[in-house]
Amino acid sequence: MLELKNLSKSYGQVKAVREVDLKIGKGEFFCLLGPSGCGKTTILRMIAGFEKVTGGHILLDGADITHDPPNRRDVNTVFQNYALFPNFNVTDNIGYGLKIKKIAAKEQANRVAEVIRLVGLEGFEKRMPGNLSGGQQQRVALARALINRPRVLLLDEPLSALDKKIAEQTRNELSELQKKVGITFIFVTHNQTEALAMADRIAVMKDGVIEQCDHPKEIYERPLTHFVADFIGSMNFFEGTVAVIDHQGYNITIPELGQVIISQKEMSPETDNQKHPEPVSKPGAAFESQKNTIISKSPVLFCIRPERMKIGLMAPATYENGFSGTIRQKYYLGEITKFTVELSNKKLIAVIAQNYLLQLSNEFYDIGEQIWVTWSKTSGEVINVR
Amino acid sequence: MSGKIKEQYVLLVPPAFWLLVFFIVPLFIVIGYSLSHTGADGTISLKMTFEHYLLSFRGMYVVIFLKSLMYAVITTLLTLTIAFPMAYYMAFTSQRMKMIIMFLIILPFWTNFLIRMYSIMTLLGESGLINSALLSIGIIDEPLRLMNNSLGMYIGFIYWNLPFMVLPIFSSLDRMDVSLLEASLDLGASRRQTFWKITFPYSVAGLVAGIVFTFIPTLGNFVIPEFLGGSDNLMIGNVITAQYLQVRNWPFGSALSTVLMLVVMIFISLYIRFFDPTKSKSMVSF
Repeated sequence: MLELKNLSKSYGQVKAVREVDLKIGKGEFFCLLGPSGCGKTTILRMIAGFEKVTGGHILLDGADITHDPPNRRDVNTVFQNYALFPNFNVTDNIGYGLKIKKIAAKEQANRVAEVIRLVGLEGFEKRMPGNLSGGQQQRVALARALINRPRVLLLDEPLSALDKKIAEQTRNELSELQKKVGITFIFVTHNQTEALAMADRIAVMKDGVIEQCDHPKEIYERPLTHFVADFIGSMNFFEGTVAVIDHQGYNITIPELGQVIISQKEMSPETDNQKHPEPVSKPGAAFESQKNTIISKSPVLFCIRPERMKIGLMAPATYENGFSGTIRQKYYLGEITKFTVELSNKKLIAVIAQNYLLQLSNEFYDIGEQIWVTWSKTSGEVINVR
Repeated sequence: MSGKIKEQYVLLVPPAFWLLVFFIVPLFIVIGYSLSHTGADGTISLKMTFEHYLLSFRGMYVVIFLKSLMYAVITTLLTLTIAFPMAYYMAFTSQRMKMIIMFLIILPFWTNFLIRMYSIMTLLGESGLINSALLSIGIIDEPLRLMNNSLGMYIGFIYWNLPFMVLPIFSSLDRMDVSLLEASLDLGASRRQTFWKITFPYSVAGLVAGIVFTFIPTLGNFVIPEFLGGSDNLMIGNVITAQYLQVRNWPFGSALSTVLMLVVMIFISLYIRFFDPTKSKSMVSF
């Protein structure tokens, strides 16, 4: 298990990482997600040993490695630019770590062949890195790190230099691979789709602080802070006050909308079991989710995702939450159509409709049309205003 | 495509013309002189003879040749020892520091070479700056001999060659990504192992160039031995200048020049055989 205790890093006056506490379980696929400059790469580089820690500790399986040099840590890195040695071919690049450790030549050869098979680089053994595609270079970098069987593998935006298609394919392969080898992966990215798709848990970072650390589903559906809600996916925000709070949910008063009702949701990773018939104990599942405490009469942010709202020409006979508005913008994006709707009080909100569903129900909306936006009380989330 | 490549040859015409007029033609004039006969009264006649070449291989000249080679080799090694750490530091320091050091390296070229030699002499002389400073603080009792010996000559040579060694090594190391060093450390290598396995191979292209830039001009140099080497440290360049300017035996001077050129060519071709710069270039251009 990797543990960060009060970990800090400052460059002069600038604090890049502020007292971060984090526990990452064995075999977990953990993701540090945030915009550039949020400190995620700095954390990764401190774990690798490339950056001097200015405060706090790093514990690997209980042992303090905070001040160990990088070559003494049982941790390997896949670099963003891959950092393949240009004067070595694929085999020599991959075998570098074993050669340094003076592993017997025969075992070296066996293990190199094994990881080459694992990452699917058969036939490229003698190629020089300069003659490989980006995707192949990425595999070499991965194999070169994995062959040392580290306790933790650090990946610094390894997919960001790849084409979208190849990145998507590699993303799936990387997940598979991680399950196969069972090594703890810590993955740094600014790409939320990658994080949501691959990670067991995600830590969303901003300005050197972890804003929220949870399972992807929780991060997406129950953001704890304005930043997380805004950074992941797209979101409509409304300022309001809690009017009523009971065991069924909240009633929020929003100046622009009036009353909005939200039911209390119980969500846990087990909701995933619909996908996995037999309950699978996932790495990282043991870590508990953080929760927001909402207090009556307190100012809150009500947020709702554009795809959770439904557009209709008229108000449905019964609905839980709904408001009228006018379509101001419409963007056809293939899979979906994105509308900008102006509510009666001029506030603009985003609504996303599945094109497939629109076509099924033969519903088409145009700019300028008066429409109704409705959503169920199970949609939307309430965030404390700090 | 091929038409475009042909057009590019046009760009080669001016330098080719320049080299032909100022290098190839004089070269053949020198070779022509070296094969000419010198009469007893010093008149030169175009009667082909190898007498000057035979004379070149007489004991005294062979010794001077060998000594010159030794000086050039030692100078190259010393320069390399000083230049490599400097280039390494430059390559991995901040952009600002890089510019400052680069400026300091280039700065001396703004001054005439002879003036620089005279200023080195005022530093190294018996009553020069270094000696008077050391005497006045009492570290030494009598002035050190810092010039008019091989020490002075080496100081001069290293001073002269340093930029030509530092800059090519720097330029090859500068292209190196720091993440390569991190990757090597990350994979368990110590700093020393990282240097020999990763950094050093990266610098080879620059190293090869730096050695050539230092070795060849040093071998033929005659100004620095003249200024700083004293009477005991003649190099082949001094002998050749003397043949041209004092003894006025141009054919013999030409023969010695041609032999020097052949020696350099043999050295360089052997050298390139062992460290093919084109091969190491492809390694670095990744």
